[in-house]
Amino acid sequence: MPATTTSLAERYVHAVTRRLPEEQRADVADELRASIADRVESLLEERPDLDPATAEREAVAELGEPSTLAGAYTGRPRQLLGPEVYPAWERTVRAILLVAVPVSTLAFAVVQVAVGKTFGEVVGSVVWIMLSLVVHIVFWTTLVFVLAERSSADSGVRESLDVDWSPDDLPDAPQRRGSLTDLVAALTFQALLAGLLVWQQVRPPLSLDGADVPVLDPDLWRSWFPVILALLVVEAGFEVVKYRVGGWTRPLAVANVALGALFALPFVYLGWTEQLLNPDAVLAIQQDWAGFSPGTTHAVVALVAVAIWLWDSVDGFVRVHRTQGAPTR
Amino acid sequence: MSHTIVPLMDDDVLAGHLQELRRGTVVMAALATLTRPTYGYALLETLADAGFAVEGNTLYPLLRRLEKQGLLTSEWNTEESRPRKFYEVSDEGRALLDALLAEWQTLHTSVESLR
Repeated sequence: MPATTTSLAERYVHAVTRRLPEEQRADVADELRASIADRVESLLEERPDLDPATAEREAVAELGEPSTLAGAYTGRPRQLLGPEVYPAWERTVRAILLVAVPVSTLAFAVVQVAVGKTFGEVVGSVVWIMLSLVVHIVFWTTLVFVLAERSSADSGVRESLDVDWSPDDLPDAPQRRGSLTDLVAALTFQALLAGLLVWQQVRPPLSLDGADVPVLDPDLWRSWFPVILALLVVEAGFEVVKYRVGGWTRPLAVANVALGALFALPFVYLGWTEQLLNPDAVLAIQQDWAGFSPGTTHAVVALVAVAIWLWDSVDGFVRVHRTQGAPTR
Repeated sequence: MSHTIVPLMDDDVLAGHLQELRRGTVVMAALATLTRPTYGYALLETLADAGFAVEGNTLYPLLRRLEKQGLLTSEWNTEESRPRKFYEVSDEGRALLDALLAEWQTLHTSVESLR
């Protein structure tokens, strides 16, 4: 045998064979050694200008990544998840993420608010919890699938992981849906409105004599504000229904008028009777801006509420007309 | 040779498809060559000369797999300057080669009849 001690070839042979089962090692090593030596010999013959070290380097480089070659010898998969298992993995991860992350995050946020954490603390910990949930869910699900694929002899595991696809797994064909942009815009607006209502109470932007004062009358939390929050939830449900049935229809437009009226009512009433603003907040504003008139502000709120209701009602019927006139129907 | 038949085809596309077609025929070519006892690197060169550009890191594990399946037998030859593992096709391997060649003929006939 050529005296190459720890040459590149020897290092390569070691790197490959240490990943092989004990009983194969010596034999594969001897064969690889001979193959590399043969290759070096023929390289030197083809290109006499090469020096032996360069030829050896080239011969080893041609064989490529040692762990890949070792994988070819053992037939072990050279990937984390194979194409056979990947679709089931994707289905599972998506399903778990879509359900677990929003539900757990929401529950967590509610608890944080109930415990009396500040707005900033709640947002910070909610973001952290969401990230942790995503990382944990993806990691553990992937681990289960990797282990299942590597021990794929057990068909019970494969079945429970839904790896073997059947036509029964097909989802329903997509129905005609409404505009996703409309849905997202409406839900975002409603969430913002609810957030504003809570925020002005929890982190009041105004202060009077050193004490924080909410903009709106805190007494209303015992009467009208819960109603307004409930109506926002109903409005959100309405938007989802509208999306699922494929956009505006005449009954939906009628319902929209009624729902809009219900929603405008508290604002019109509270504006008209001048109950909406917190009297302390009015004082706080008047310290900086003496001309601030709570009466005018209340009137504007009532008028804007009516205007939005009218505009939204008309918009509903216009959309119905446009949808039904569309040739895609 | 094929380049003159399809002068308009993109070279890369052609090379890709030819390589894919040949990949499936490496086993046939190896079994056919190994009717005479041959060692790994010599087989690699023979196949390369015959137009089967297979890599060592594909061929060496393939030989082991074929041996494990009983299609090849092997023997270490220590008489020459360096010890080498010689492979030779077994009776089973011969039968497999015949079966693969018969299938090859059938496929050729089928494709011809389709156009």
